[in-house]
Amino acid sequence: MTSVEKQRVYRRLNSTQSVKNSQAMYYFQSKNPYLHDEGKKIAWITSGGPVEFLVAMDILPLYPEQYGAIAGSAKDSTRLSQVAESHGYSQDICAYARTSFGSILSPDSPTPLSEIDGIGGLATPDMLICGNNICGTVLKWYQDLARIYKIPLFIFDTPPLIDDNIPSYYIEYLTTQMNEYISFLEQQMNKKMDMGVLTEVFQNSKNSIELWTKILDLGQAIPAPLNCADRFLLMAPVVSQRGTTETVSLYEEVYQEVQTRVDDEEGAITVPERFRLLWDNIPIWFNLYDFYNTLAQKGVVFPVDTYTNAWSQNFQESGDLLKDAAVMYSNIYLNKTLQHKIDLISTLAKKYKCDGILYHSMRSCKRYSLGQPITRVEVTEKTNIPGTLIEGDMNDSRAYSEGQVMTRIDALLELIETQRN
Amino acid sequence: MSFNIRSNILSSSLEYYLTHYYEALTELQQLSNPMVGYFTNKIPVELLDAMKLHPVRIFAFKHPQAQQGAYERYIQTFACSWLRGILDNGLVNGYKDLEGIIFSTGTCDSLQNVSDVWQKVFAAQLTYNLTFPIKSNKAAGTYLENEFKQIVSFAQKHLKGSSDFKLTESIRKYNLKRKILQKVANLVSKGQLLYVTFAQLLYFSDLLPVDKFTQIFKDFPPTNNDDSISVTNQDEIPRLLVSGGMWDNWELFDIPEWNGLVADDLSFGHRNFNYTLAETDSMKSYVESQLKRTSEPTAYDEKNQRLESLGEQIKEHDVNGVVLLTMKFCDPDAFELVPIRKYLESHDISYLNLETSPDISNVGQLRTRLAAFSELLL
Repeated sequence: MTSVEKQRVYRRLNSTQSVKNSQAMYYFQSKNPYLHDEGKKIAWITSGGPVEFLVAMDILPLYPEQYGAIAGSAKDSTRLSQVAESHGYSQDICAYARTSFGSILSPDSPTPLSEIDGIGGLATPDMLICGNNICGTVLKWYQDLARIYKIPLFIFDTPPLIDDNIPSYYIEYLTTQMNEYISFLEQQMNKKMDMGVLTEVFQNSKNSIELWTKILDLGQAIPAPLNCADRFLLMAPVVSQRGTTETVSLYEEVYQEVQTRVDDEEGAITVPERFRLLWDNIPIWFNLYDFYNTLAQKGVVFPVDTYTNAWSQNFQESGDLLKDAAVMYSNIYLNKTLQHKIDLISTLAKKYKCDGILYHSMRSCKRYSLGQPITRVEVTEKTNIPGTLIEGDMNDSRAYSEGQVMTRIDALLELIETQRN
Repeated sequence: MSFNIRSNILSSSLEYYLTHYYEALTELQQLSNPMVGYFTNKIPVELLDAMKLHPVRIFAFKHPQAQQGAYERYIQTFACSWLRGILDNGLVNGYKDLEGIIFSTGTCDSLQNVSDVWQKVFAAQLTYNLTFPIKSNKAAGTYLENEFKQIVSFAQKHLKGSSDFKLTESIRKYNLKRKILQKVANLVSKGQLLYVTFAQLLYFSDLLPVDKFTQIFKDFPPTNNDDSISVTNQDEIPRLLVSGGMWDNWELFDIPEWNGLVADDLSFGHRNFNYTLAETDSMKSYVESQLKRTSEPTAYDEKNQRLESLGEQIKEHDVNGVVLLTMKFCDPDAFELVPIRKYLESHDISYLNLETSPDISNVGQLRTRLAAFSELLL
């Protein structure tokens, strides 16, 4: 590529730096050598796991999936995956899991978590929390982590939802597990859960999610104030720190800045917006900015995606906190049917005035990806919005061919142009 | 030698039925109770039988008219190879002989997503998603009891399930079936029956109505069987055990390199007949027994049951080497491989990993590797 082709055509958000700083501090705290002396512990938790309970119990939650994204962005995930493969893990399994195993088993330093992280890698966990509401893979992944670290593992089992009417015995099963979860944590921390604190943490979570949803909603504006890469970076706190007041403050700052962009009709990209596409799936972390920047040069912007939208699911208050939490954590995008995905993608594509849809078909995330061919057909039938599948991976650069991907995207853009004329 | 001859006849007969699996389904549809298809061994077959339904396993055996790769219109190539084959077969006639299909969802991501796709592609077919809990505690038991009640209600309403419900009798029949299979497995262990014939029998047992199967095989193997009879020279070949998840092609075992195969640790092998359920009419007791079954690769193995069971099998059958059979693009198989390898290494047991797909397109390579492995064990 020439230097002209590599020219940056996106606008940076100032508040992105605040998010980065906050994340850096969060990871810095996790490496505090006196953490245990201060009565705290560390839990590794899946991205769909009920984190509020940990925050309320002074347990620092860390996310191997988020670590995977960091290692991917640092272009270190393929190396770590290869380390995992050299220990017997198949190249076909989740690349986040391979990155995680690679970071544990690597003879060299794992990827640093921020500029102020000297050691690299996630801090060693005291316990593991796994919610299978995002996929079945995490069960096997966390089972192996429990064997490696020889530490306790709590599983929050969420049977997949067939439709919006959740049977009462599902809710009973989920709520009972919330009580079991509390007992588990009390045992680990040797103290009782303060339900008042838990309620406060949930309120912070609710506020964070509401603000996050408002930020995403601003993407409906033309020109789009945020591109995919912005959202993928900004989402970090709503995933890992959503039970804290800091995240609420942080998102207030982000919201203000994005709203100002909308008011000023300032887009996320510096060139005229020609194509608005919806992104389905996890991003290509190892190529994040280059990928979206290359497309932005063609006037392509992504005002919405299904991945960051998955954290906009808030809980309905019925007065029973544990039940509400149980229902919310079950009612997750990846724990629902393909029909739900089709409906949601169709709704989002219309709502955000998209011209096309890009389905990232990731061989290492079966739960998110399998069924995209039929999804593409049905969404187009419903909305008359064309889409295409591109093959790649979130963390394994060996499964990605930029030439092939760009050819497919170019074909989609041509189709959109043709339909316009 | 009479038993050997009978074994050969048995093998030929079973092979005939299995190679005509789709015709057999059509025939059974006219002869047996309404048929309900299922995919994994996490299925309450006894409950279905109690409602006078005939649970039939859906195999990945290639349909003669199946167009390989037809599935690509709906799912990607990195879906589990077993399910891709099943979808290719289904696209021929949609398993029209079946009254309905029960998916065991919540097992693995491929099956979960394929169940969604299936319900779109074959929208007219009645399907039910049954989800076993990951855990086996009291709350999980209560949940599963309700799932079972739901499936009974669904089957009675939509699948011609009878309300004249006799669970004890059905459990007894399936316990007998499992007992028969255990007896036949002992013959394999003693080298008196080739594993390939046993594999055929296992598939056949999931196709035939349980009453018919137990009726035909109740006296099998013959009690006056001569223990000295052996189908292979056991002194010259190492004793192997095959471990894995789903496997739907007996032809893989129909090669001389497997002659030393004396036991398995497969979903529809040992793990599908190594248990006896409490004979009861109580749904609660039935659920409790179901939750005690050996863990599958797809599940969270709370108590390390899978490794313990494998270790017991190795000892019981005096195994020299273990073949880890993994299916291409099967995540649970791939994940299980690592702890199983560590376990075998820590117990100083030799192993070989064979990765393939139900169409065994790499059979030549598999044979060479198996032969080399056996040589190393001698």
